[in-house]
Amino acid sequence: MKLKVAKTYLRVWLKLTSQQFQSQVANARGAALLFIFGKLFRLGTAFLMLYVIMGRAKLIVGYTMPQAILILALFNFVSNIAQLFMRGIYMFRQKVVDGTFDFYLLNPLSELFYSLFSATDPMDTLLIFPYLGLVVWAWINSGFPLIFSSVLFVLIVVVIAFVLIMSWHIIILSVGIKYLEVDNTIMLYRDLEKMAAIPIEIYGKTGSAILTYLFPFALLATIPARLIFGLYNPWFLLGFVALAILYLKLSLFIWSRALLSYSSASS
Amino acid sequence: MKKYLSIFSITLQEVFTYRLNMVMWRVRQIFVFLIPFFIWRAVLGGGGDIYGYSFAAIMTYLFGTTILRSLVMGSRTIDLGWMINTGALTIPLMRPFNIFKFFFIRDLADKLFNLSFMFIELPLIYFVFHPPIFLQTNAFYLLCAMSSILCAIFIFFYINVIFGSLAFWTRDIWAPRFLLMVIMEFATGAMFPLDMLPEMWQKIMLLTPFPYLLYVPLKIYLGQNISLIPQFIWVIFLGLITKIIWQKGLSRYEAEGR
Repeated sequence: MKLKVAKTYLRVWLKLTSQQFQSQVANARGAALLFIFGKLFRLGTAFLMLYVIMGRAKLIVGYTMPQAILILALFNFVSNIAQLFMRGIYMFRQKVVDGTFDFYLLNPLSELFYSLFSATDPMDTLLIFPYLGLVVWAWINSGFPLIFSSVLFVLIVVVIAFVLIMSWHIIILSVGIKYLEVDNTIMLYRDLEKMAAIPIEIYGKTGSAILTYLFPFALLATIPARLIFGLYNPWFLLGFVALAILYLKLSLFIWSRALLSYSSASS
Repeated sequence: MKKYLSIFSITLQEVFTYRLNMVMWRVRQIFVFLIPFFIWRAVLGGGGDIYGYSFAAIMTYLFGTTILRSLVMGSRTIDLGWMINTGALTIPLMRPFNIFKFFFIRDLADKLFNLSFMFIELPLIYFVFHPPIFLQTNAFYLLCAMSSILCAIFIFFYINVIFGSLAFWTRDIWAPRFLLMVIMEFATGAMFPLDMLPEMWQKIMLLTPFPYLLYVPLKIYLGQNISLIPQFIWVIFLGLITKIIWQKGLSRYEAEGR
């Protein structure tokens, strides 16, 4: 039964994504190219900044330049995977304001599914490949072997990180329902997330602890990098699995509470 | 004058309508400062300098860019593209005031809002982290810096109107706007001082209007550059371009959606 439900969700998601892709190809080809160029430019400038600083400083909180580059590459890869699926959050406020959210509530599938996953950006998919290539290049360049166990650990971390990121997105959507505010909250979330693009040790002991346990963005780059460098015990990942489950349950609870306060005032 | 004061007051009221939105926006501005602060503290906190910047110099630059971002880059004109696409531009066009003045007054209200909060947030950051900063006392440099900031405000305003006006020709304005934002983040010197780049790159950057928004005004404040001429040229050039584009765009405006 559960498999059947999962298949239904997958079918609807594929249909929505395909429609999104068709719409972009038909209406916004140039815009999509500019968007991809912008993202690559931003990535390039982030690497340039790292190069400019580490070209002179050599070491940053104990990491060499190739190691810091790997952390930045991992961050962009993992963060982009999550963003790719959850673009719907950027349009959510408008949907609450104009009443479209009422239709989500009437659908037989979960309103949360529509709110979060209905606007997967297919153009973002194209960026996964350069980002992945960058991770592989940076990994090899860092001098650490590209072995099966390390790859497996990184993949496990990506899955845990995805669940945690999804939980935070659900909380932000809940804030959107309650206070009609999403845009700056999601951007604030992105700012927080961006802190993980560099080794989190840079933020001191308190900052590192916050970014590891409270807002576990360390999972996006520093922890997988430490796993690759052999500086992290993989068994600790079990603790993050528990944390991810806890966050997901908490976010779903907050979502259900927020729905109770939805007044459908716009429709 | 009274009608422009009303626009100013209404814009401020708009900002305060969604209070959580406003709070989140302000918290974001603190993060804009914190991330580079921690990076530079890790690199220069123990002493020494890179590219001629000590920790105190880079902190002054960082504090400066944070204030200037609010002052120069606080803007309501970014709504222009949306106003054209939805037909909402029709309403201010029909009202008895100069449309550029209307946009500029709205920008000024946004800047005042940002700046007033900045005066609460920056002392807070200062007392928590105690970053060493340099305060300019030379009246000449301060005067030049103020003139430079004024030019920067106009340059940013014209760039925004030009990019917003793209909506007269295309509905897809989010992508050019995103690209502009990404380029500005780097080319204004907001990420790091542009004189950390190789000289050739610096020269290329200075041929664009972007460094004149943050980097050049700050260099003037620090007394390392007092040439205001390129900024004046950009203000005049962009002002002319803006008027031409606006007139051409307006002739295509169909008030679609109204």
